[in-house]
Order: sequence, then structure tokens, then C-alpha cells
Amino acid sequence: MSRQLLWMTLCIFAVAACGASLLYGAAELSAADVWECLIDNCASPADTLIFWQIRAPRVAVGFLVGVGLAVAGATLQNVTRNSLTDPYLFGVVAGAGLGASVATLLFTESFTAKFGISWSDPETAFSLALPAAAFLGALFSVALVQLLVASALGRRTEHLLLAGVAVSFMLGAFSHFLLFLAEPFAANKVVFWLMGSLARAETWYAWVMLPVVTLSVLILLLFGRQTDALLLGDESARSLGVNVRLLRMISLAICAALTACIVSYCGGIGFVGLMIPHIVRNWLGVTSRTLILGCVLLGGTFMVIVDIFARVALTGQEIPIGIITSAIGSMFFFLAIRQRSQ
Amino acid sequence: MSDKCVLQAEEVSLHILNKAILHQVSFTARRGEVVGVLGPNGAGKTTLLKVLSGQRDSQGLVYWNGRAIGDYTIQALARQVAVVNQINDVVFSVTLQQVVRMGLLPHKSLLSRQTKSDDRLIKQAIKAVGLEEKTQQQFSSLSGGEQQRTLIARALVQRAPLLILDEPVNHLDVYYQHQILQLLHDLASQLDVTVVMSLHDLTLAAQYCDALLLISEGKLVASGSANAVLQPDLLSSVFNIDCHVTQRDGKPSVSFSPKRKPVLDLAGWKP
Repeated sequence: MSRQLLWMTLCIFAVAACGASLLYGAAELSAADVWECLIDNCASPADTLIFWQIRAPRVAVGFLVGVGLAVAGATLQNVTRNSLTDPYLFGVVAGAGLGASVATLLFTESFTAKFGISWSDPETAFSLALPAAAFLGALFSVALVQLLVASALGRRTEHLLLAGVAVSFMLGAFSHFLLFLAEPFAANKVVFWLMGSLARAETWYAWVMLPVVTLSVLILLLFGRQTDALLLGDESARSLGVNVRLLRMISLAICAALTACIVSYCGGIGFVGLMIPHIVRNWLGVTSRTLILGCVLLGGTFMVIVDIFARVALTGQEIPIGIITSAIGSMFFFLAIRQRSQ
Repeated sequence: MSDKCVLQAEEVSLHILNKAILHQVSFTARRGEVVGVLGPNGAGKTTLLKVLSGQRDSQGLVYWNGRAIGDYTIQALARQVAVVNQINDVVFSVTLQQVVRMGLLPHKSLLSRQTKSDDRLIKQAIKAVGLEEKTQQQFSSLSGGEQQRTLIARALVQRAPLLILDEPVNHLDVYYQHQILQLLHDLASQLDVTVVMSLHDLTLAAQYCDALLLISEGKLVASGSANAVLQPDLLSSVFNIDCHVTQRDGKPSVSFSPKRKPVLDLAGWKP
């Protein structure tokens, strides 16, 4: 298939997946109702509520989460020169989770009462503190993995993977402990961080994610050629005039930002960042700009489709989306390892 | 070759863990000169090339065009110096053409686009190293020699006036050894590119280089024209093997007479 055709197909799939996702859900909305909502006003106030408060935000958040995870995964893989990593395996998700847990702890009533902190608008303060704390946590985990690898392990693929997994478990344990301290119903929260879900998607999530994701993608596209130079190693890139250390820092910070805003609102969703870049590389090529744009289209589409499945597979309840991505992703991971060893 | 001295190394030394890898190496090279760096394994050839290309810090100074290498910004340096090193960890399946295209990088700002003349340049460079049939092949699937030629094509696209190559004819068959060295020689004589490369084949070095540096245990033991450097006694002691030098077409040609004594003591060793 020619490349143009492939790009067109991806675009069509993206639109089709979003359209389909608007149609399916617990409440009945016919195709005609959805169309009416999209081009004009919905037929009834109930439809308006379902469409604009539930369906549309969910599709938008789902797509952005897919884009963010896939792009973060692709970038991580490029700058660590390791195709078997993603924000989940690299410990970034756990770091962001730890940040989010700390923020949660700081905003519990018992904590604020104890230290006499009073927020004039606790809800807004919390909704801003959450992604900010998650971002710091994500940066911390990235730094920790880099430090581990640089100090003791060396830049081998396996070492990077193991360091990521170790950091992931360590920070995960820590944040779960914090949550148990903070909340009487901590188990719910822990499950949410662990599995990830789009069930709480609200319109303003999308409005926070949109600028973060857009800006990240633009910056990464800007540095595309520089990132390409890394394909033949750090030394080669440096001889071509690339400030490798700076490039790596910018890229990892972007990964942290993307992961942080996703984890804050939707919990840890694994393996999307591993799978999607793999597929895009095989279909479209390895150069960074192609890879990033491919990840935008395919990552978003994949997430939206998985989300449809999560909502309709079991009647009466929905499956947390992280369960499905992990199930598919772990198998994919296995296949990828097998492919590498051959 | 002009008379102007453009590359200058002044007492370059490098110590790693108190061991001298390079010890007070000084030399100069003129614009458009082809300089061959010779010496046994572990003599410090690769390290010297890395210091010259600004990839490694050292004591002592290296000047290019009257300016210390360390004073160039990283991108400005890449416009001045192109490096061809052995590459042995390619992680993703990048194509030959994409590798050659990387040579444009020092000349591009973040926002600039690839132009028609860039495309032409890439095509020309690939043709110059004789790989136009394999443009879309994956870099990692190429043979060692083809990879080497691809990287030389990348250096051509980089259009730097100083070209530094670490064993550029390693892995190449006889035909391409001469082809590549002739190409480098042409670059120097026609485009005034200064070429510094390490070589193992002493006769080839004599044929294609304007000046030679002979390095042993981190020290520069001889430098100058091929006739001055390729002295049988000197070579025999540096390489620890009997060397003979004859003249062919006005250039020295080196041959060896190994002692043919067993190196391995296999007594009592049964597989």
C-alpha cells in the first residue's frame, strides 16, 4: 500500500472510530440524534446532557489520552534507543501516580485540618495541584531511572528496562502506602491508579489535556530531525551538531508532562505507548516526524476503539480501560521480545 | 593543497586512570591535505581522531582555522568537521537514504525545510560512494563496507572542510579500498577538504596520503612524507614485525616477513 493511502486510511479510521464512539453507550442515542447534536442543537435536553456531558468529553479525552501515551512512548523509545519501553514500563506512570497521591494526601480534610491550611476554593486548587504534582513525580521517576542507569548499570536495553520496572514498583508501593494513610476508601483510589479508566472523563479534562498534548507534539515535531540523528547513537548525533544531553532532557520532560496529565485524570493505562509506536514504525517508517504523526492518529484511534469495547463488552458495567490495554499490550510485548531475539 | 596551515594540534595529551593514552602529540596539517594516522592497535589513533574532532576533551589544544576546537558551538563545529566512525548499534530500521540525509542537520535550523537542492545533494553523495541501487535498504542490513560508504556519503552531504575518518577502508574489498581513498583524495585536491584518517594498510597510506603520522603508545614517533615516515627500522620496532620497504612508482611499498614461529603453545591442549 502506498504511503499516502496509508495516511488517508489512518485519518478515515480516526474519524470513524470517534463517530462510532459517539454512538455507543449505556443510554440510547441514535445516529440521527448524534448527527443532530453535532451540526445543530440536540433534539431534547436529555440528549444534550448525554451528548455534551458524557459522550463527547469521553471521546475527546479518550483520543487525547491515546495520542499522549503513544507519543510519550515513541519519544521515550527514541531517546533511550530502546524499542521495549513505554511510560508504564519506564516508571513514569508510577512517578506521576506518586505525585498525584501526594497531592491527594495534602488535600484530605484530616491533613489540612491538622496543619491549619485552608483553601478558598479547594476544588480548583486540587484540580490544579493534581497534574502539577503528577508532573513533578514523573520528572522525579525519569531522573531516578537515568541516575540508576548512569551510575551502576550502563545503557544496555535490559538494564534500562529493569531499572524502569524497579523504579515503577518502588514508587508504586510508596504511593499506595500514602493513599492508605490518606483515605478511608484508599483501595478504590489504588485500583483507579493501577487500572486506569476513562469513566470519569469530563469536558474540562479535555481542555487541560489539549494544550499539553498539542504543545508537546509540536515541540517534538520541531526537534524531529535532531531526534533522528540519535538513531545511529549519541556520538554520531553529537558529531552532527546535536546537543544530545539537552535534547534528551527536553524529550524526557515532555514525556513526563504528557504522562502526568494523563495519569492525573485517567490513572495508569499501560502498554499503549509500547504498542502503537511499534506498529507505526513497521507501517510508516522510523523517522521521528513520521513516527509522531503516526502515533497521533493511531494512538488516538486505538484508545477510542478500546474504550468502545470497554463500555459495551459487559452489559450493565464497564471494564476499566487499563485492563484491556494491558491484556493486549502484554501479549504484544511478548511478541516484540520474540521478534527481537530472532 | 594550499600552504595555509589550518589544523594544528599542540601538545595534545590524554590520561585515563593515570595511563597516558596520548602524550604530547603535536602536528599541523594544511588545507586540502590528506593525513594518514598509522600505528599498531591500541596506539591511540582513534583517541587522537576523537580529540581532533572535538568529541573528547584533552590537555593541550587543537586549532581549526585559527580557533580552538572547544570554542566552536556544537552546531558550528559540525559545519566544520565531519566524522566517520564505526557504528555498531543501530536500534531501529533506518534506511540508507535516511542516514545520508542526516548530513544536512548542521545546516538546518529547527524550522527549515528540505529543499530540491538538498535532495540532489543526497542523491549525488550516494552515487559518489556507489550505493544508488540500495537507497531504500535498511542500514543495519548493509554489509560493513556498505555501511562505511553510507557514512562517507553522509559526511559528503555534511560539506565540512575537515573530514575525520576512523579506519574508513576497514571491511572494504580491494576495489572499494582504492575507490574510497581515491574519492577522499579527490575531495582534498579538488574541493580543498582536509582529510585526517587512521589506516592500517601502510602501502595504501603511502599511496593516497600527503602526510603521515606514526603513533606508538600514545606518542608521535614520526611525521612527514611517506618516505620520511615509512622507514624499515622504525616500522619494525613499532609494529614488532620485520618490515621491508621498496619503492614503487616513487612511493614506498611496505611488506612484512613474519617470523613464522608458533604463537600458541598447544602442548597438552586437546579439544
